[in-house]
Amino acid sequence: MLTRRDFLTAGLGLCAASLTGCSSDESTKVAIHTWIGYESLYLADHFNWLPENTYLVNNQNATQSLHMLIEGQVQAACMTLDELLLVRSSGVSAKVGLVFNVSAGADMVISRFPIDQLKKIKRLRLGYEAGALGALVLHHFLKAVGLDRQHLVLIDLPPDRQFDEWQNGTVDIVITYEPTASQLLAEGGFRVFDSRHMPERIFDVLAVRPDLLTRHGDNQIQQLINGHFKALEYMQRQRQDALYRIATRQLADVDQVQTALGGVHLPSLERNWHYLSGGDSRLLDAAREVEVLMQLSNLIDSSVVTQDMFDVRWLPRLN
Amino acid sequence: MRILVLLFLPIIISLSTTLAAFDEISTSSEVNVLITPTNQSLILGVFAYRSDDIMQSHFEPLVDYLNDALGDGLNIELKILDSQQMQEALRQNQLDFVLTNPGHYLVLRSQTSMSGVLATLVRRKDGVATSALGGVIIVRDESSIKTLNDIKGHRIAIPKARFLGGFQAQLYELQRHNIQKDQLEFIELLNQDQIIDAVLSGVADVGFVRTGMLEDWQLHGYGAVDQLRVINEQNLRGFPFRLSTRLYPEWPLLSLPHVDPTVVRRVANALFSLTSDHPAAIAAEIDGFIPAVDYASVENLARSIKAHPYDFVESIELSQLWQQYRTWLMTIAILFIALLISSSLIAYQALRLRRQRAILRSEQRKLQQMAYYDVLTNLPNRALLTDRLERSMALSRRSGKSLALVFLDLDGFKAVNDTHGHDIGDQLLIEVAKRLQLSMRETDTLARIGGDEFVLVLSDVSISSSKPLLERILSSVAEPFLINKLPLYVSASMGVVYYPIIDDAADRLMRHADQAMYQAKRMGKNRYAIFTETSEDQSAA
Repeated sequence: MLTRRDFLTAGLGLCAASLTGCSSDESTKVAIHTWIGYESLYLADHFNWLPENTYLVNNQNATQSLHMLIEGQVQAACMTLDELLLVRSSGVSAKVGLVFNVSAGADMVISRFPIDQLKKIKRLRLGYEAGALGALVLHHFLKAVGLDRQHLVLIDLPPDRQFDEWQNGTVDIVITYEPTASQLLAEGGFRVFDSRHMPERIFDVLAVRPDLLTRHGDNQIQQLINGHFKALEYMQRQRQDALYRIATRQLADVDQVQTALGGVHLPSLERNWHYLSGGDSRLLDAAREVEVLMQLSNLIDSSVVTQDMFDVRWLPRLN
Repeated sequence: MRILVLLFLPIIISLSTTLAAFDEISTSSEVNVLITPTNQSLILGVFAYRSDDIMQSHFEPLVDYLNDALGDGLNIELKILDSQQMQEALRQNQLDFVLTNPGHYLVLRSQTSMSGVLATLVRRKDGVATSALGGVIIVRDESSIKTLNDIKGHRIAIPKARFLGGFQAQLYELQRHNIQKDQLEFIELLNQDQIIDAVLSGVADVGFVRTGMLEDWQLHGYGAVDQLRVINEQNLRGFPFRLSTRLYPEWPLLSLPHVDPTVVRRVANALFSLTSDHPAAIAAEIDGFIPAVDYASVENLARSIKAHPYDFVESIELSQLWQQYRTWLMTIAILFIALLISSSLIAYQALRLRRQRAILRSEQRKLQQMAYYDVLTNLPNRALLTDRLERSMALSRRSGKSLALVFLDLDGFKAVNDTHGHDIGDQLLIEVAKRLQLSMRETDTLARIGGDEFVLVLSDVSISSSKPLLERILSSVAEPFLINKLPLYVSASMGVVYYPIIDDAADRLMRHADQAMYQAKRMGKNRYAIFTETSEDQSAA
């Protein structure tokens, strides 16, 4: 695992590379970080299935990707739906171009104590990435186990630092996902809650800023999405090879990758058309619910969810 | 008909009872087999990808395990077969279960009837299990071959049976790097062990083997595999073997369709119950078996490198083409016919229009002729004369040269008409017109304005210069005409007016010429009279 210091330098190196090496007027850059739902893009990159002049800018966590998109350093970014709402509330008109995955157990809460003991402990120290996704899972977790915020000391802790802090004993509970989750479970953690208890609420999407796209930008995004679906097909057809390659990239075990994949639904092109065209309103419904929750948590202060924030223009045509 | 049925009814009934009895017998015999099994022998054919003794030592303990697990009544017998032998055994339906590599499975499936894959083998190495296999490309360590591209032009040892791990996976990788089969030189050897030997001994420069072979040699100390290098190494995390290609599912275990489903279940149960720590698993260097995985990737691979059984060149037949693209072809045909019909219609209409235009044009020409020309003599009529006269007058005004307007009336024409009839009279008029035209210049105009009256417009003439012309006209008309062998005699009386000596309008000039003509008549015919202001005064007077 990379330490915080390591990823800072790695991150700086990547930024430098993106500003000089791969930066050209015609290029499209997509911010991405390690998450099982985005592995299709890494795989597409590995097999050279991404279009010319299109680059993945690798970040250590979602927050970095979010800032890059707001600041216009990238034209698109992989993020959760609620993060997209944060981007939009900053005045940037980002749109959903693709649904990578729907979390079905992949986002989880792991605790040092079994679930029945949680209420007995006065001051639980909960580490989570204090963004919208964290707030969303936290909200559903507290509701499910009947805990109050007063029971908790909230610590801002992105997943890439959670393992170390867990071992240092500075947190009791974390909101996390793979590959960190498996490591914590291996350390004796209890899985006290996961996104199966909040179905079709956490969507991972490709956020695109149409205002930043260059002449070939639309086409490049479309080709990128094509690459995503080609990789999805590969993951299905040549599963073992794909699993080993994902494991190699994530520095994880094949079993962990398999477990992580079990926690997400990867919607097909057809499903994506349903979600983004509004034929299936569940994406819009989730966005509305998350928006309300975020307004209550003062994460956003205005209404940013609209039907036209979903855009089918980059989806490959159905046959 | 009904009677016939009634007649045969007893026979039909007795026949169906007999058949039912047969059914009962066959069902009960089946039940018998299952309940009190005689020792049923089943044959498991395993593809010989390695030398016989290695195959035996790997798989005999596995077969022993299965026989123990299955218990009484079922006995499995091991047969190690090369691809030819396995094909033959399958053709004769001698095998009940088959364990082979995925590429071979595709070939067998295309040749004989096979049911689906029952289980997939899981291999094991140093405590790490994998249900995936791939290809390894090996060279001697000191070899100059470093990348896939360097392989071109070198001798490559491959197993005789060109299946997945020992051939197809590597070939696909090379194809992805734009290296085609015909750029490579192969040496076919019997099994995978011989390939490693061939590379080590220098018989071949490159060897294609399946994953796990190098590790197996290392483990058993078969040879100095540390002197070998792997090309295009993949280094996949958690995969226990060295690898040069993409990964595909491990060996499938198949049951043949004739094997009783209950037996298949019992065998599957035994296979899935095998644990990795069992001596049979250890001897076979496997982790056990898992439910069948998807072999579509192997099929895709074989298709894309056109491996057997996908190595035929598809010839497209017209009927297939028709079946596949019927709608398209029909649409195109209909469109084509419609285009043909409409274009021929257009062509026909164009032709008709062209004809009608031609008719119209000739009609128009006729009408024009009738409007401006005299029908009998084809000379300009009064309308055209007026036009010509005015144009000549304008020309005369510009040039300052005078013109003569001559009014000519035949003398004695009425008598010819009365004596010989209108036909002769008309012919005479035609002949007169011809003679007049002959004595005139091209620039002059001759018109017939009615009956025996002609008008001549002679441009660019003076009174004196026109005199010989006028006299020539008089004498030409006075000559006898021979019409229908009849000699006819007429003469001309002419009134001449000179413009602009008499500066007047066209219609008045005509009147003046007319008057002068009458004067010529009065003066005794066959002559001409020139109009002067005085003569007008006279006539006015």
